[in-house]
Amino acid sequence: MNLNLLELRKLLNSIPQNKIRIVTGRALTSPGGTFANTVLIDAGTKDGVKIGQPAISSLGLVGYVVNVSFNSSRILLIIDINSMIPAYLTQSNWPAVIQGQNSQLLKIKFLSSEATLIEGESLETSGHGGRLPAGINIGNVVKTFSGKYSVKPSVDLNRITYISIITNFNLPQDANNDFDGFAPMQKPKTSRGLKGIDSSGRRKIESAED
Amino acid sequence: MNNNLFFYFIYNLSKSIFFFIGIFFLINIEVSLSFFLIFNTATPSLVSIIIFLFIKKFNYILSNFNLICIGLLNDVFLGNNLGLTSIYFLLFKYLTENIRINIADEKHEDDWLYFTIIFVIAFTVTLLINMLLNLKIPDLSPILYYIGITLVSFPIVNIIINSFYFIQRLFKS
Repeated sequence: MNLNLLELRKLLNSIPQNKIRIVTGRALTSPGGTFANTVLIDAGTKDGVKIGQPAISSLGLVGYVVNVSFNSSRILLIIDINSMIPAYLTQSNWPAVIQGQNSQLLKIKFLSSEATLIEGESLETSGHGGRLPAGINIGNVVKTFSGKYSVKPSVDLNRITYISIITNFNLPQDANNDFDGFAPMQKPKTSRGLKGIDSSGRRKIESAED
Repeated sequence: MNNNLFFYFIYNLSKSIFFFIGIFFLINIEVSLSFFLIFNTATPSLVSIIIFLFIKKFNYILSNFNLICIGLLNDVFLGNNLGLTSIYFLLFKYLTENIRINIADEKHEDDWLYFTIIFVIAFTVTLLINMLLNLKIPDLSPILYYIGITLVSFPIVNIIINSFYFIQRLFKS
């Protein structure tokens, strides 16, 4: 019981930003699959959990929510092959994408050729794309036997007991329905004023009242 | 005559339900095994071993519906693509029954070899389907570990079942 309380206290301290609301659930299954690495927790829509919300533990990022029911939700772990997390190297500030491989180590993708990796360097979420909040610890860079660099998650995903969901982190589509992406919108070309065609070249549908 | 048919139906139904509960229990054990340090990377496929032994050794004909349901349950538990395990189980059953019918091996001396062949074929097909669905190639080390640990587990499970079978026959005699 004391250990549980200690873990919960640690979880509260690991929040990267202020005023973030979290819901903590107990893991109901273990990530034992060969093809998929997911965990079911006992918190669902009744607790405010939604699809896409990030899942953390006392040590760092665990994954994000992919399925929600009333009482439970499924979390896709960062080690799953379908998980891709935008991150940055904390010492050199180079951005990269961290991909799961269905194994204990994560793959570093889209890292600039100018970047030099340091063994033991930690990685955090960059917040690019707006899917996950920035500044959550992911893991450390390790060198494998083959000489390649990988990332070892800071969370021991096989022994995870409690998982917290950041419930008030809004995804871009939740925050604004008219969200069109991050790229600046281009102005439509000037039309030639054809009858029945609007400025973007689409056919105009006129209502009966007009 | 009708009574006999009815009892035969009830007998088969109870056998199916018993098998379903047994396999369901085994799936839970299989998932829970990942808490042990040795099975952190992958857990052995105990269900495959049991299905093989039931068909090959005890001549028990498994119902396809049962296997589909068990596969779907397994997928829901683990978060796999729905239906993937069912395909694996059906393929595994088909290959095992094929070997049981076509190859006469009454002493069950080559069971390990047959299990290896069937398991590798069925698993490779499932892996290819999974790769096509994800359009990504997963890390091979946990997959090879999964195959290896299952093949190593086969004789252990076989010996345990044999000992139970032996004790049962001893009591009967």
